[in-house]
Amino acid sequence: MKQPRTHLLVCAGTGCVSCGSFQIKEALENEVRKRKLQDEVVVVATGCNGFCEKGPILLVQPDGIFYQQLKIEDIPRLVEEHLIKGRPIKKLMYVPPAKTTPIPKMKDIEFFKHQRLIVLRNRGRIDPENVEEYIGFDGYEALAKALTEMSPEEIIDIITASGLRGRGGAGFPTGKKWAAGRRETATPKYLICNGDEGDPGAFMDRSILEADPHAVLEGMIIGAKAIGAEKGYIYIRKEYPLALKRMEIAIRQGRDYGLLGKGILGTSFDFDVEISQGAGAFVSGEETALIAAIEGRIASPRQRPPYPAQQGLWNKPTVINNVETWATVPNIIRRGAKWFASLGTETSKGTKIFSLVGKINNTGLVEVPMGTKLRDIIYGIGGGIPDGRKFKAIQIGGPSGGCLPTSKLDLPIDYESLTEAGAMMGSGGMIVMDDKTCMVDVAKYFLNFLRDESCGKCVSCREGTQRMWEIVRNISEGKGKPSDLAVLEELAVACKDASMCALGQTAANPVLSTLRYFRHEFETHILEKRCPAGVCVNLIRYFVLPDKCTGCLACKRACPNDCIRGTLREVHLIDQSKCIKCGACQEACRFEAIEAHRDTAIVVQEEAR
Amino acid sequence: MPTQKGKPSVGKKAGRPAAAPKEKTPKVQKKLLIQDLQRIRDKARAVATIRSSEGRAKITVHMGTCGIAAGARDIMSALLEEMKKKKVTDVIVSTSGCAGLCNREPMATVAIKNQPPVKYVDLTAEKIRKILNDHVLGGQPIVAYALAVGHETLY
Repeated sequence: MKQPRTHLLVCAGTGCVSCGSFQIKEALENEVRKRKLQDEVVVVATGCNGFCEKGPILLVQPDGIFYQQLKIEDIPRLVEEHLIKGRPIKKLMYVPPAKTTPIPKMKDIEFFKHQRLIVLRNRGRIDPENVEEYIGFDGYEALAKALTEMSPEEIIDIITASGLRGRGGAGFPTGKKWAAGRRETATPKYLICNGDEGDPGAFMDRSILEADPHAVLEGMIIGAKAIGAEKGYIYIRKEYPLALKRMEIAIRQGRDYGLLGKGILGTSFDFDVEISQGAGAFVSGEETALIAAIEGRIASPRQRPPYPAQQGLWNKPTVINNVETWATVPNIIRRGAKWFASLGTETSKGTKIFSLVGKINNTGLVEVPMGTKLRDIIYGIGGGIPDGRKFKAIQIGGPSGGCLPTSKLDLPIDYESLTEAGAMMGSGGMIVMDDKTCMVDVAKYFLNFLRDESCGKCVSCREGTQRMWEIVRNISEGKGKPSDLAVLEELAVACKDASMCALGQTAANPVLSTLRYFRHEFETHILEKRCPAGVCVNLIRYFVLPDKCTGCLACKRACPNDCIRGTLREVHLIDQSKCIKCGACQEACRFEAIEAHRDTAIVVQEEAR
Repeated sequence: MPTQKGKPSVGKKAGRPAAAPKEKTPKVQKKLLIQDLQRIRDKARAVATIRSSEGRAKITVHMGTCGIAAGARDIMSALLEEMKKKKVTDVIVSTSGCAGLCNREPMATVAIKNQPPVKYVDLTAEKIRKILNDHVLGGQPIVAYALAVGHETLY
């Protein structure tokens, strides 16, 4: 028998799986067996590594070599060169944008270098489907401590002292919530893990569930002891099949190992959890709506108070926290409140996970201390904007959040600073936009999302989001009136004041924040009838720049509507009467000879529509 | 009726032994007690060392064409087997390409944390086992097998 010397950690988060990482894993296993290295080399599938942009990802330990964008064909050479001959393959390593030298080690890559992993400490390191690996990396140590050495009050005191706040968006102090649940005398009490991640572009909860499901379970069991709950529900949307599967495995193993059920770890404490599947609606993330969904009713919020801590699931005291919050808990118990409180800012402690998407070089999942500047995330970890374009705005906090402009790049991120700037923490989605993004179009997109997702209970939200969407749509089509902006602002305030739940209360944020920072863009659309970013199709016209066109026919071939005229080596012409403004010609052109014309106004005729 | 009655009973009888091997892993997991957590953690120490890339010592077996031709694979196998036997969990084993001194292969470099690395040459399975036991575990470099101490000078 040999001691294994190398572990091949294949990322098996949803991102990499969709790029074929399971096939890569299989190919690695086959190749390793073929070379008779199976005693020396272990192949493991881990949770999301974070650098989703570069999947499928393979980390070779103990060498720390980071391979990216692997293909099946690369595997035989990789095994022979790196594992047999000890020569890592440069061609498969990560090369930073605009550089030519590859960076072999993961710890030297900018994307990983500046992160501080607490909740994601096991990402890309353990097999999420094996509880023994979680235990091997200090897993369930906090639970043992909480069960044997601490009283419920002591647990709550530590969580309160740590300054942990809800990671789902609103930022309610977790210790306070737990204390409220503890105070209630009615039994049974329930716990809920909110895994209904509904924001477009947010995937941190999914990643935690996929990469480290036991961390969530451990947090919940500790919480159960603190609150006195005996049953927990984990609400995961059905669109997350991998997260569901890994959590099911984790729960099964937890029960087999005596970490869930009767007499946990040989103590007299009992607690069990159950998965509740949701069909994925934005409003189900609201706590009272989520409770209704678990009870089998339509996911629609109800008036608070009474808060769920008093009357929640089946009218019993219920403490509901987000996935990330639960996964943070074991770390605080294990390492102490002081350590956690030393990270972050005055009002927001610890770290926060953000999903970085949109026009950014390094798409992925990042965990940074609270108070990190937006600039450091976008340009440091994120590697800046692709194609040398300019940063325009960053949308934070999902549909309820807002867009922040360049002037806010040096904002240290915490709950208060974001709210003040007109965005919100939300669950931590960050969508980066470059100068080709039209802010009217962005506002329209989010309003359309919200009008779809509004449950319809409050008139202000149901009608408010609909009317706001119609107004913004009209503006984007060149039918806006100067009075529209005032109406928008009035509707926004009404929607905020008169709606019952957070969806309606924050529904106006996309409008208000874009109006606050990009009002001139709305005005250009309304008054000059043009779209400066060249996005709103009714306000642009594609045409060929004669001095740049080489007559290569590429655009002609790309045009789906056959509206480009011209022969080889002759300047082409776009027939405006037939153009559907799809932009295919612009994408096909290699000489930047096609421009979305937007300097002069285009008169939009009502009748034509 | 009797045939119908008989059928399921036959099916049951036939079904039982057939179903048994299906549940091939009836290895019932023992419920853990608090002290078992530490046992699992100790068992996983070797895994943790490799995954976090942090060991007390690092042994590099040189695996260039020359090294492999001279028998580096046997050195590697002997080393890993000895490590398993001695339950060594805090040492990293790595490979590298040719070190440049092809006629003294197989070679290995032992680097104990905070100490200059030692290069061993002309290895055999017996020698690498002794190096593991005396140098890595015992802390005494074996001068007789060593070529040099320290890094090459880099320009």
